[in-house]
Amino acid sequence: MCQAMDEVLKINNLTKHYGRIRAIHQLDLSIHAGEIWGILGPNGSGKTTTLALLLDIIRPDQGSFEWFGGKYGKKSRQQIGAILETPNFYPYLNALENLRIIQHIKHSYKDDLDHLLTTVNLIHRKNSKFFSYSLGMKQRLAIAATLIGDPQVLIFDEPTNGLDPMGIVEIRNTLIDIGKSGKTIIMASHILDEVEKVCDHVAILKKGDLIKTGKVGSILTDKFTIELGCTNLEKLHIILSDDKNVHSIQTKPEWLQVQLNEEIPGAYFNRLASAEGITLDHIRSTKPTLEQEFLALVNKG
Amino acid sequence: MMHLLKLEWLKYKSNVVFQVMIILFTICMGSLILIGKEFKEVPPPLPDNTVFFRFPSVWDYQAYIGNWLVFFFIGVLVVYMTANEFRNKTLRQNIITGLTRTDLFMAKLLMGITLCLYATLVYIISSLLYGIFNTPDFAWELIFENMIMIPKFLLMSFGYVIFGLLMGILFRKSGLSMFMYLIYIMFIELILRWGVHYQLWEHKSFRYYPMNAVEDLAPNPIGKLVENFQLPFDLFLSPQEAVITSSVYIVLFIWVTYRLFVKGNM
Repeated sequence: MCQAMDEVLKINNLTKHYGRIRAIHQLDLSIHAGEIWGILGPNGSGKTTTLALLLDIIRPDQGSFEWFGGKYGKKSRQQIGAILETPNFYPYLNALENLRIIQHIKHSYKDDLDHLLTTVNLIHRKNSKFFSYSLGMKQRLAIAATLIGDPQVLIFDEPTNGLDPMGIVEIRNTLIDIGKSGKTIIMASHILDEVEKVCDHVAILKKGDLIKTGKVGSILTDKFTIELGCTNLEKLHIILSDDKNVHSIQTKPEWLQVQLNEEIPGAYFNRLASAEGITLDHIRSTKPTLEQEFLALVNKG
Repeated sequence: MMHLLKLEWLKYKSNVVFQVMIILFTICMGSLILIGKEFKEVPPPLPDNTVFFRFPSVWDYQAYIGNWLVFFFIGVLVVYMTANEFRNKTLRQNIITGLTRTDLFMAKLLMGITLCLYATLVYIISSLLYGIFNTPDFAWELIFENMIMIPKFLLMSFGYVIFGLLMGILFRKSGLSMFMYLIYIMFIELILRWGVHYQLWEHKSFRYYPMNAVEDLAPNPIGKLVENFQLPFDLFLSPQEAVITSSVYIVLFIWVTYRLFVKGNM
């Protein structure tokens, strides 16, 4: 009951085609207050389409979604701050004038715009026209714009796209700070390191299908691997093949890479091998990174 | 409503194109008729060149000049204001920020109506000033003789504005939208009417095309005096026909524009 009340977004069977191209197919997802979600996927997987559907920029062919337990009406729109693709502002207006338009739309006149621009390190250019900004400055202005009206939910589509390494670190730190304030964040990205550092949940899309969803931790820990080496890899392979904890085995030149169904300490395999008269000379547990897991999922099939 | 109108004002008050077009419209609307002073001899059936400036005919001549100026300055401005928002993707950002699609449509419509009211106000003031200072034996009653032109001017302005809005949302690219707006009114509809419709049916129904009906709300006063152009019927729609036909098309254009705003991808 409590969980249902905390539900910020519920997506049911959302489907969108562009002509014959399937952009999103029967997407179901539920996002709760305070969660930081990363929407992952290669280019063309449907990340931006999903966000555009959720923001009413494009219309779904099928399915529905609810923000805050209801329709995406005026009230719920005021509770969401979002950037979709590139930052879109009036090029002939300066930062303050552009933010005043956002304020006006959100009926939120109490925000301290100077403070917001200071937060995103743009205060020194507040009177410059938008067209004169670098991409990083545009991105930072867009983040400031999303914060107007203190929305409960923030949506960022590739927020570090096109930025230099310094800019990426700046934006990432800003996002982490925002996340700490308890806001719900939904972020589409194909930069896995970024998602791993910022997000606590991920949804992985491939060609419009949601292929994996859950906590970052659970996605990474549901497949542990361990490297086991000895002088007789063939015999070790036979022994491990009968073990119920082993999911799969890959033979490498120096050792066996064993994928496990759950986290098993190295000592267990040491005992198992010793019992069969084998001495292990290499034991190393490895946890896959989000990048490895993502590539494994996306490349499958 | 005022909230949406203020939003449009915030967007455009600092826009150079907006400022230039409004200033040029105002200057031209207030001065273009002065060309009439140069016509020392006017073709019959006009009595003399004072007819351009005196009541009640000043309402007709100023309206005809306004017909061209609203078509060019106000109509093109509305196309620019709509298509430019697609180009800059600011319409979609407005939706993301919190406006509904209906809000967006209403904001554009209200801005268009405001521009029409401004154009009509300039028309009224300029006509009054010219009339008051140039009518021999001026009497206040003379002002009211042809005042029916005021609502017709407003409707005509709205016809151009809503057509501009439709072109802006239909074609979305500033250059293409403006080209289609201008080319349709100046050439395509003329070709359809004279080159196709009239050639095929030789029937007066060729007058009932949308922008022709809008133009006929403030027709060329000299053309109306000359009449017919050897046609078996009046070339111009009667005032009543022009009002009804324009109103029908305006309602249709509003409906199509609204559907495009509400149903289309942004």
